[in-house]
Amino acid sequence: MSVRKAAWGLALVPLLWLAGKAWFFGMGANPIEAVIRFQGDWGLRFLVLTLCVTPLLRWYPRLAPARRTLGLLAFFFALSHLLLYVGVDKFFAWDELWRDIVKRRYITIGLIVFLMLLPLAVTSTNGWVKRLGFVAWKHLHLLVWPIAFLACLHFALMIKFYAYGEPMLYTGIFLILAGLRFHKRA
Amino acid sequence: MLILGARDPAYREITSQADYLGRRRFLHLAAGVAFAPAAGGRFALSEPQTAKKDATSYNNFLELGESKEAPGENAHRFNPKPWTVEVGGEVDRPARFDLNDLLKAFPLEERVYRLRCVEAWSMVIPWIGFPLADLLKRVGPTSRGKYVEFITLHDPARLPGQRNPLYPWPYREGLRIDEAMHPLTLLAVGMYGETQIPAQNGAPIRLVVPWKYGFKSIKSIVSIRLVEAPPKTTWGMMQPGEYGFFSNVNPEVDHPRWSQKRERRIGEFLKRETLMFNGYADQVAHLYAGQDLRKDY
Repeated sequence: MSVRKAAWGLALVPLLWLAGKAWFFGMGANPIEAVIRFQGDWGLRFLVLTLCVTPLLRWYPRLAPARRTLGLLAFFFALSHLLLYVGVDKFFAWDELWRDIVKRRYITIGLIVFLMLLPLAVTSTNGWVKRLGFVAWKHLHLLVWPIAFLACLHFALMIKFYAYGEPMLYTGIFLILAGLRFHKRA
Repeated sequence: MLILGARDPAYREITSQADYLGRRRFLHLAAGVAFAPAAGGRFALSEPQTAKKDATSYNNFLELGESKEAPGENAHRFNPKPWTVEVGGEVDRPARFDLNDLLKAFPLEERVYRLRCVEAWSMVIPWIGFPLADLLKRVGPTSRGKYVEFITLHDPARLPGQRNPLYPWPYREGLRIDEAMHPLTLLAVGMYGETQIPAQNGAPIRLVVPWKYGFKSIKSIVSIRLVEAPPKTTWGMMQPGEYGFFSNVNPEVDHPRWSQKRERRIGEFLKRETLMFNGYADQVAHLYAGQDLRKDY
């Protein structure tokens, strides 16, 4: 099995988890909120996995193709997170959505994260690497770092002030990964 | 087999709440604790009641855990017996009540109330209890009793969430005296037809102030004191910009981080419009005449 196919297969983990939970235990009293948060959580987790690939390449160079796939999975979970928020949570109430985007910092930041993910997802093909030239493409994809930290901020601003543990954990992981990634240049 | 024309039962076919509760009332009379059912009375509500399973598994009760599910899962750790409530401060006859005596001292009645959480979700819950005013009249507030302070039990052994050092335990809340004396303001000792409150819902006695955000309705109360100055409240101490003393349900005044215009009624797919004073404006709006509700949030 190719590395890339195995990476796609990882998407099944959260999806089966969600289906199993819904089937056996139900999704609780507020299923819409539960699913939206689930998609957001997994977007962040796939972002972590994506950024883990580069440091691992030193020992496992064969993993390289998984990076793009994992990045795309992060994008797809972010996309479904956004679509559920727009279509199910807000039920396409555009005026209310617009007010949310302008007024709520965590929504503003969430949307910025998504808009930054978009060009990375679009240019994930070999065709785009050629079209942009490898160096420019690589520079563009450095956007993943601000995306990672802004996603943590989006998470932290959404929750009550005492429950910062999880977003701080992700921030810590991203800091370590950034250190591994950039320390040689410094 | 395909059944054509299958449908939900028509309204007239559904056993009336009066009959349904009448049966329960009979059972409770048999058990020795009676309450007057809300059916048809002043405190009935035509909106469908939230499923008991949802109301007992989706809770904010930090004393029993931080997630919505944790309080229900940890409920077995909290044994609320025996229980006494201290009523004192600026009153003529301070007293210490055993919970069992409270249940006998005041006629219990059922009240079906909307519950609107500050987090923009809501439920409809049939409570059983008695007006706080009944208890306050019994102890006789003095003219210096301008506010009422409520305190939750502080016992980290039974309420393990209180080991979390981030909070100033125990939980405390407060009302202005006119709010406390309002006939809607209830001390609940039961829900869903049973004169017993599950731990996660605030066993064994809790406040229910239906026109205010849910966090005002303090759970597992051990102390009620009449005081002269506005009492400190837990959320007001922690995040004063987000949680005001009044915290009346108000679709026009947003929480700093989210809109309060609409709410998800638990069990429903589309959101509902949030009502001024949670739909109790006719009964309570006069309490705030002349107050700027944007300032006194």
